[in-house]
Amino acid sequence: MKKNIVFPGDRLASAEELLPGEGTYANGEHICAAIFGEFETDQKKRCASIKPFTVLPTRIKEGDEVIVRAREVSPERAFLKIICKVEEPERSIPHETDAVLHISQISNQYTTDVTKEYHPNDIIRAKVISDPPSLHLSTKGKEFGVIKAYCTRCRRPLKKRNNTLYCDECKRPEMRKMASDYGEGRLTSK
Amino acid sequence: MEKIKLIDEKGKRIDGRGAKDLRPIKIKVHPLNRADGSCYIEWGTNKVIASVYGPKEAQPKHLQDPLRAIVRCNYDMASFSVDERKRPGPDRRSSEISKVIGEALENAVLTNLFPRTMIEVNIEVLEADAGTRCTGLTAAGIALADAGIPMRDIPAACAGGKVDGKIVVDLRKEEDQAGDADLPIAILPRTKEILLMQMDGDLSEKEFYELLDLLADACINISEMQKKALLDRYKQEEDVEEDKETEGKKTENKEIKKEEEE
Repeated sequence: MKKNIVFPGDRLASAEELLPGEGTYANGEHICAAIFGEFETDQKKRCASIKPFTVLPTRIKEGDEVIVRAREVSPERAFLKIICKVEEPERSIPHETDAVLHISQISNQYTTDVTKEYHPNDIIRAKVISDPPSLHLSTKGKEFGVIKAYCTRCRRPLKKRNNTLYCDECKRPEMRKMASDYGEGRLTSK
Repeated sequence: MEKIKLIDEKGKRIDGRGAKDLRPIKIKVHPLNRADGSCYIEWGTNKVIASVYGPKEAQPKHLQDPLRAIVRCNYDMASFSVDERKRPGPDRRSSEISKVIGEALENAVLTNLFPRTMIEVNIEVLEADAGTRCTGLTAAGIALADAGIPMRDIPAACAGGKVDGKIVVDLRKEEDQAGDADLPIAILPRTKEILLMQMDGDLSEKEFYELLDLLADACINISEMQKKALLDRYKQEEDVEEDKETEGKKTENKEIKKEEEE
């Protein structure tokens, strides 16, 4: 079957006929394409949508893995800034990027204090547990946690040594909730 | 100084074009891998590259609009883009052009879908030969479509003017400098809604409307070229994917044969 390729602004159907879906918009009495792609109709839902040919702006939703940077850590929660989505690291996030990590979501073990697990400027891999605009994260599980951390005294990157982090400069260990692949430089956990 | 004759007896312009003819246009979509969307365009001897980043969180934060996205455009001319070296960096002219192009694009993009964000458009002029703001805007339109940003239509732009008392489309440098008037416009080709219009020099009302009609037709032609460029890029990608699939199948078949032999 020949593909029905549409460009932004192309009229797809009348507004009485179908509902505007993904990649389309209602313009008065017409439904028009908003992106470049292939026009599809869902006859069950009576919905017009477009299968994009280009990469669309990303959106964060529940269940996504994200890379975040800790901004502020209090005993009960950490305030984080989302850097990118693990699946699409190159695309910036088109909405609020401030997120919260509550003490109960740090790990499967009992946590007494968040400041003992994370410090400001740590790079953390986390999972999204609530849809935007209020983003809540979780680092439960061995693949989630710090993937890069800095010494709180000299700011040099910490190195992994026998399940703890160690600063070669200050000659002292530091504690963190680590991801299993700490320091390997990978964004994905797989 | 002797005045140059810009239009001869036969109505031909100095480069042999008729009054309604455009200069040759060559478009390449997505030349920059790291940008979300990009476009390189050669319009006559104009060479412009446009890139789009975002939508991303608007910075500085006081610029954020809680209801819609803002489009920030940065038009820049390279120091080697003109005959005499241009002092690099922003100046009065480029600030003005950045502002008008940004506002034109903001009216084409469905900004209400991305509140509190900004879309960054960078336009770099590598070689200039009159009409760079139209070239830049046309390229930016394609780059936005390439970035997958929802739009009402792909904006297209073209300049026109009055040269030796005649109305002509798509001025080149000599015509722009020695001509009587210059009118760059940008429209949404489908609805012919005007996004940008500036005028230099004098035109009578009749001439103005005549030129506007010619420019609208030119913009529709440009719009077709924009669509063709996008389609070519998509087809290229599809071909690459098909090649990979067929290669994958071939290797699979070979492996199966090997296993059978063993």
